[in-house]
Parts: sequence; C-alpha cells; structure tokens
Amino acid sequence: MNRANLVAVLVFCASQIAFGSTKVGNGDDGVDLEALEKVNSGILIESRDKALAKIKSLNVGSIENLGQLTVSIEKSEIYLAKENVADKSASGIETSPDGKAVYARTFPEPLAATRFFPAALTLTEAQLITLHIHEGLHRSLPPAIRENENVVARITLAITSPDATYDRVKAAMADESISEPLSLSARNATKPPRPEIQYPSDVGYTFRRFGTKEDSKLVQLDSMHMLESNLHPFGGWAKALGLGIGLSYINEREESYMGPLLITARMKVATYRQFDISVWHEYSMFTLADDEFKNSPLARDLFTMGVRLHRNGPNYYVENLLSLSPESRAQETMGAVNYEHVYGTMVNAAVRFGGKYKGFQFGPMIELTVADGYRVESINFPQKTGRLRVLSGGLELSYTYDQLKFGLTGRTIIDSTKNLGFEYLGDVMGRGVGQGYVASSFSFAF
Amino acid sequence: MDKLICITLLMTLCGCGFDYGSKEDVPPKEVISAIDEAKLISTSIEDGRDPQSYWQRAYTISPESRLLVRYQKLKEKMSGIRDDKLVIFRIHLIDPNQVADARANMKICPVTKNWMMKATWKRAHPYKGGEWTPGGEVESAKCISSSSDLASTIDICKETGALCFDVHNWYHNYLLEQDLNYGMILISDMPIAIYGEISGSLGPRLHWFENKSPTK
Repeated sequence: MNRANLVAVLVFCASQIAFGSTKVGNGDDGVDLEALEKVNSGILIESRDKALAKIKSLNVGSIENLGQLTVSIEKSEIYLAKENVADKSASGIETSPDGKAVYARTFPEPLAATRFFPAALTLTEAQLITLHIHEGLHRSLPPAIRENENVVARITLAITSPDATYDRVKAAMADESISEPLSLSARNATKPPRPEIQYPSDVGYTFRRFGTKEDSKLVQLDSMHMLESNLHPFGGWAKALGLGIGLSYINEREESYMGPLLITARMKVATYRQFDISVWHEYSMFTLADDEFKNSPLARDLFTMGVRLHRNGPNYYVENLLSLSPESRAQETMGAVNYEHVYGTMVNAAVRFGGKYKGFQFGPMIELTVADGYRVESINFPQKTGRLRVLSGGLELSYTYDQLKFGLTGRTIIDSTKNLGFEYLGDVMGRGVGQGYVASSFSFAF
Repeated sequence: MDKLICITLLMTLCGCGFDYGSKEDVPPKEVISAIDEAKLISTSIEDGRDPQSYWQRAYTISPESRLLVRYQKLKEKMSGIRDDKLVIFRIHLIDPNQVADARANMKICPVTKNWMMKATWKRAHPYKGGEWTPGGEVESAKCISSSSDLASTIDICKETGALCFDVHNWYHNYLLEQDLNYGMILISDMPIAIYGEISGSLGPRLHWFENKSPTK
C-alpha cells in the first residue's frame, strides 16, 4: 500500500471515529454514508433561522405534541454531504419528485443531526424552510407518528402554508389520522409509576372524636389521637413493601392515657388492568397502653390481615377492601372479680369510591362487618350478643398538595344487630367505639 | 375369751372394728368465707366503673345507697354445705352503737336479676337489657332482718358490732332449687356504715356448715 492510499484510509477511519457517533440517515443502514462538512453559515443556516422564526410566530410550541419542535430545529446540528444520493423508493418533501436526489435526512430522535445533500442547495429559501421544519418534525413528534411520512408531511404543510395560523395547525394535529395513533399509543404505553408509588412512605397524624349514644354504658371514650409512620423502603417503585407503626393516645371523660400500639406490614403485590393489589397485616397491641386502659373490655390484642384492590384514575378513585381478624380476648378485673371479654372472629368488607378534582378527592365509603359475636364471662355473670352484623357508611374528603395531604372523614353506623355500637367489635384503632366518629388528618408522603 | 379377743383384733386390723359413732354424730365443720363480690349502688353514682363503688374499706348503707353482695364460688361449695344447718350472712358496723338501729332498719333481700360489678342504681349491667328497677330487683317478700337470737348461738355473731342474717332460705330457694347465685342486697332505711370487703376479718362474711370427715 503506497503512502497516499494509507493516508486516505487513515482519514476515512478518522472520519468514522470523529463522526461515528453522528446519527445519520432515517434508520437506513448507512448506504449513503458520505463525507460530511458541518455547516455554520450560509443558506442552510439562514433558512433554519427563518424556519424557527416561522414556528415561533405561530406559537406551535404550545400545541400538544409540538412542544419539542422548536428545540429540535434549533439544537440540531447541520451537516452538508459532498455528493448527492438517489432513492427512487422514497418520496416526499425530502426527495426530488423523480427520486434522483435526496435533499435531507435525519434520525427520528429529538436532537439528531440533519444531513443535507448538495441537491438541497438548489432549493428556494421557502423550500429549505419547509425542509427544516419537516426534518424537525421527524425528530420531535411522538414515536407513534414521527416516522409516518404522510402524517409528518401533512403537519409540515399545515405549518408552512401561506395561510397557516395557530388554529389551522392545531386543527391539523387534531385530525383523526394523527390523534388516533397518538391515543392508541398512549393506551398501550408503559406508564411511569403513579404519584402514590413515587411516594410510597408517609407519616401522619389523625384525630378522632367518637359519637356515643346516651344509653351506651359499655365504654365512654371521647376521642383519640394517633400518630402513624408507614415506611416502604423495600420492593422497588412498583411493589412497595414496608412497615408501619402507630401510636395512640385516648381521651376518656376525665382521663387520658396511652392506647394501643399499631404495627402494620403492607405490600403492593401486583397491578392488573390499572388496579393495584395490596396485602397488609396489622397488629394492635396493648403492651404500651396505660394500666387503666389495659384493664378494660377493649384491651385486646387484635391481629388483622387483608387485601386491597385500588384504582386511582385521573378524576376518580375506587377501592375494595376485605379483611379478617381472628378471635381474641381482653381481661378486666374489678375488685376480686375477673371478667373475660371474648370478641369473635370478624370479617370486614368495604367499598370506597369518589371523584377527584384539582387535588380534591371526595366520596362515600360503605363497610359491612360480620363477627362471631361478643361475650363476657365471669364465674356468675355470662352475657353474649350472638352473631354481630354492623353496616356503616361515611364520607371522605381530602386535599392533596404536592406531598401533603389533608383529610376529613365522617363515619356512622347505618344498621347493626340489636343496635349495638362499634365497641362490641373491640377494634379501637380501626372502627373505634360508639355510633361512629368524625376524624381529621394530615400526612406527608415521601 | 381368747377367741373373742382374737376376733376383735382381726376385725380391728381389717378396719371392721366396732362403730364408735355415725357421721351424724361428727360435729359439722364451720366454714366462714369472705364475700368477694360487693358493689355499692347509689342514686349519686351513675358510672358503673366508679372506683368508690367497690373494693372499699367501708360503705354507708342508706335509703339512697345499697350494697350488692355475692360469694362467687358458692355454687362450687354446695355439695359440701349442710342444708339442715344455718347459712348466715354477717356484717360489722363501723359504729357498734348502731347495732340496735341496724336490727330495726336494715334488711337483706334476695336479688332476682343477675348483675355484674358495673351495676348502678338503674342498671344491673351495661349491656342490652341491663335496666332494672331503680335500687335493684329484689324479692321483697323474702327480705330478712337481723336476728338477735343468732348473737347468742353463733360465735361470729357475738363479736362487737357484728350483725347476722339467717339466709338459709335464700340458699335453699335460689341455690339449691334454682341453681341461681344472684347474691343478695343489703338495704337500710337509715344511714348505717359498715366495713367493706377489704377490711380483713371485719368485712362481710358468709357462714355455713359442712360435714367434717371422721378421724380414723
């Protein structure tokens, strides 16, 4: 190999190294690879600037799916090939009518370079402006349509026609041939994690005021404060797994004391048809409660497990919840008399749904609880309720601002066996006592 | 004679000796048990869990305050209780000088509705159906006043300030015949203070007799 050929090969190799990362062609296999010269001035730059001015004057950047067009044209580097290429199979704005000359090519990626061929220099300024816009659309439109030559050409003409206006361009984008592929693409696209998955953990405070009937003498709890911390560091963004802790402070008529400690474990296990499926376990313990509360009919350690189906739409939410709590007992001593309070196995089914609007969320909830019943036993005093059924309902209102959430909840018994109250379920942290409650809460998600 | 001695020895060795006396001849054992379930119900106490209404050193019995009493394990003891003997309920007055007034104004009555330690003047218990006649549901016809005769025959009734009630009819009618242990209620037409269940030996007591096992 003589010295001249060696230099040519070296130059070619160097050019490949230098331009190896340059995106060339519209997905072709590089058949038309040519030596390229970066263009920094001249008719190609001037026409690009006028193309930019054109689309800015029409304010197309504010039209849906055209927001990246300006950046795509402005930031795309321009190269000029040394020789023309022909592509008889191609047609459209980028190619001469007889297919003998390709004017320009680019890759369908936002900031890919544009490669012009010498044949483009024979075009008028208006044609070059059209070409810049056309190539820019190939790079900036959504993937579903940016390689569809007919669609891109239609949009190009809408922008570059002499009577082009903002409304005409917007109308062209709304055409069925464009909007339908976009919406189909949107439905089929893999959605990014929704906000609640982006913030799987939260800390919050809840205050509940119970409502009791005047003739209800079983318990006399007035209100409850609750602090909760639910941390989900495991399982990744799609399946958050974590533990929660809740502390409670209970107000009785004239006394206040520590209530049960709540330990929870939750995990989102799957998402099907946009429904999140979660499982959870909850353990309410009276270990830390004050002695006065330990010695009460409500002081039972309660274990609950459940499954939750939840769908969070753009302007609605719906949730089904099913849970099971096995039988457990509480001991109460008065003087030398010991009473054992037995709460039967409890099955709970709830439905929540509602609408969402600008951060607000509002809707009803309804819940049916069926329990094996409650009984109290001592040596001489047996008392039992038999199988219990409690139907309750309420309203929930919340407002979410970024990671903060404020809520108001009201809940009441609609119907129950023998008109008994929530205290016969022995679930202070869950359903509370009496005929229902009103609660306010706020939480911070992260 | 030798034969007689031999037979006697043999019978003694096999436990077939002469009968030195039947069970009826063995004096019965006195059993005194502390009342362990006592609840004060009063027109001024609405909360059944009021700590002033149970487990106290003293109670004042008056027209507005009554004391429910029950011995929890009485049913378990029934098999040993001699039903041909007295069953006595005994209290001690704070002021021994009120014994005469107590005999004239105080009585003990069978309770006819089951109650629990959360009983109040208006309710036997806080659950559904717990309402009762204000002051407790009693069988008024079977109310008993204290008998001065007991003070001369029963040792525990001889103590200063002691007041005894013969309740063996209540035991028969309720425990033996109906297997019901609803306890009794102490009622007074004038304020009289008595020792409560945590006053040691001065607290309310139930006294009965059981068969003593003969010694061999």
